[in-house]
Amino acid sequence: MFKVSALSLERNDQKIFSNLTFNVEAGTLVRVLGPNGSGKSSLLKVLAGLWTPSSGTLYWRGEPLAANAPLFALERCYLGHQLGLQPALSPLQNLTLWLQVSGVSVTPAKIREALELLGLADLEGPCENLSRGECQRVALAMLWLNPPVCWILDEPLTALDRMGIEVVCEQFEMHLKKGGLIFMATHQVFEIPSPQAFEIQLGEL
Amino acid sequence: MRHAFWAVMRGDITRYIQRLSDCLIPFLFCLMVVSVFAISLGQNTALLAKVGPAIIWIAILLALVWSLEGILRMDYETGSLEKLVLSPHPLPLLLLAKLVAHWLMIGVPLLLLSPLLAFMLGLTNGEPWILGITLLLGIPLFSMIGALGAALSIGLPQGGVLLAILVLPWMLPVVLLGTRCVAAMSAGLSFKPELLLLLAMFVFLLALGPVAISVALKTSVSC
Amino acid sequence: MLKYKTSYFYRLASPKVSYVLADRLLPWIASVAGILLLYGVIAGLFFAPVDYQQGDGFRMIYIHVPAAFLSLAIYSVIFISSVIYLIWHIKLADFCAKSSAGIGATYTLIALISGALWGKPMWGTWWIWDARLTSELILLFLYCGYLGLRSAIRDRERSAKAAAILAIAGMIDVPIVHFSVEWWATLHQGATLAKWARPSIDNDMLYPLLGMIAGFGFFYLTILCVRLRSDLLKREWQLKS
Repeated sequence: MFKVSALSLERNDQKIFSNLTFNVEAGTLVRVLGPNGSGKSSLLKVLAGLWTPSSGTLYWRGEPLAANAPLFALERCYLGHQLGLQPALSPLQNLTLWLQVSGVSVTPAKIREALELLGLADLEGPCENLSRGECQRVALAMLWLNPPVCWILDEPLTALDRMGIEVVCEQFEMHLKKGGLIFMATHQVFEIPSPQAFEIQLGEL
Repeated sequence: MRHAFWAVMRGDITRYIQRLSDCLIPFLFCLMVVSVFAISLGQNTALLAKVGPAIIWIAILLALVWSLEGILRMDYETGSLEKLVLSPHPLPLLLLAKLVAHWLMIGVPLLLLSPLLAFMLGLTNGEPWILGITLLLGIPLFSMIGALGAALSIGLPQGGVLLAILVLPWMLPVVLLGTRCVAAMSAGLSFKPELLLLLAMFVFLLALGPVAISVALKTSVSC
Repeated sequence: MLKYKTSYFYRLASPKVSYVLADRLLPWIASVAGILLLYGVIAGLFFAPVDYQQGDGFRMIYIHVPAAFLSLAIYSVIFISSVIYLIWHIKLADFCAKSSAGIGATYTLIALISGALWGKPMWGTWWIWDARLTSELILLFLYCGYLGLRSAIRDRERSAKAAAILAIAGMIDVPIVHFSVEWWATLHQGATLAKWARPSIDNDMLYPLLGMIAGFGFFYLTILCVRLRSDLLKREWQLKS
């Protein structure tokens, strides 16, 4: 489903990674591992289509990304370090806004349901008053309201507590069972049973 | 696509409303700049009336551009710009929504403030009206040109001052046309040609501006 | 055939080839620049006949006009390099634009200062806000903005792309500013009758002028070659370390 061939990235004349090739099918969890500064976030940004690689091609559903960009934009969801939440808006307003921007129409009732699932149902104030962990949950809520196929997540579990991690891992499992794809950069060790899983180890050039 | 446009516009307007005090800052800035000029040149009413339009233009220009830069910088820091860039909807459309929200919440109050500023600088004989009409076209123009400059210099430590340097040469034709309009009116000549030229610039930038700004934003976000 | 030509172009733009080219051409270009400037200066200062209207003072033309002409020509080079960089991502185009900006700004400054020094004795004023001078001043601001943006952005690719967009927007701006100032100035025609027009010119005066213009141009190319070499060397050194 997602294929990458001879991908390499160079920034400011520094090689970040080079000659990366892989092919992942539906239902795979791809973990991107590596020490700090090895380029995990950069790789995820290239996979999401935010950064252009120095060389190499990405393929989505068999077509090169350049030709398939609109379809890919609808079917992927990227969650970076900065969560992309407007601090002045409430969780509900944020989710409504970003879901519309991603091309999805969702009723407020469904949004409240998802927030409840994550234990955030009674939060009305602006997001700047929430803790980093709560903001992370709001950002993650977008994943299961918007049905994209490919999830590209940069350290999605860092600020979550144990209960939060459990809920989120459950959702990951369900997504993989439905035939979705997850790319994840993370330092944490946790178990997500998945039909296929593989790891990309960066930092060994 | 329509829904995304309205959603972004609504989101931005809600932000401005939540931070109403921040919206007052451009307002106060213009009032202060014009007051300083009015007080320091107060005795020389003829001179004041002559340079009045240019002072009002520059004050409004700076207020608009700096407030827009603040909005874009906050979006960049919170990662909202990344989300906009990755959206399946065309980025120029979403940017236009942001610009329209900015015009409504900050541009229109400044436009309504301009008669007061004109009065403070002693403009008479229908000059405030002409100033208002040229500002009606000029404020969106300033917004778009300022947005292009802000998109290029987003996230840089030098921030506002670098932005002013980048944007000033592009603003010059608009300011010249606007002041010439007012000068023509006070000299009793027809101001239609200048106004039509401003309208032409407005239409041109409305078509190309969001596209150029989206290219600049993609450049800044992808690096 | 087209494929061969475009691949030749890409090969020419590769760092190794362009370094060798710059290295080989440098002595020739520098000598031509030196000869032309020497000819222009000597012929212009000593052998060109005295102008009937301005006397010896007209000789400022040999500095002012080449500097002004080259300042706009170099901005056009930056514009074209920026377009090439944005479309074909050829790094050489980016080097060219970056290296040209400094000398273009210097020429603009020389043009403005020499113009002011010429204007005071000839027309009685250091400065006039007419279309040509204002456009030259705005050109200086555009150069400064370009240099400022390039130095402010640390990331190399972002700096190159953002500066390219800036250069393109600026180039569109130059004729608009010229036109709008001209139009604006006609309203104040009463006060600005003095025009800094280029005097209609005799052959004996013309050839040194052409020599100076070409000399300034080749001097620009010399500086470009030197900066290109040093930029390429720096990049190679950074890659190795």
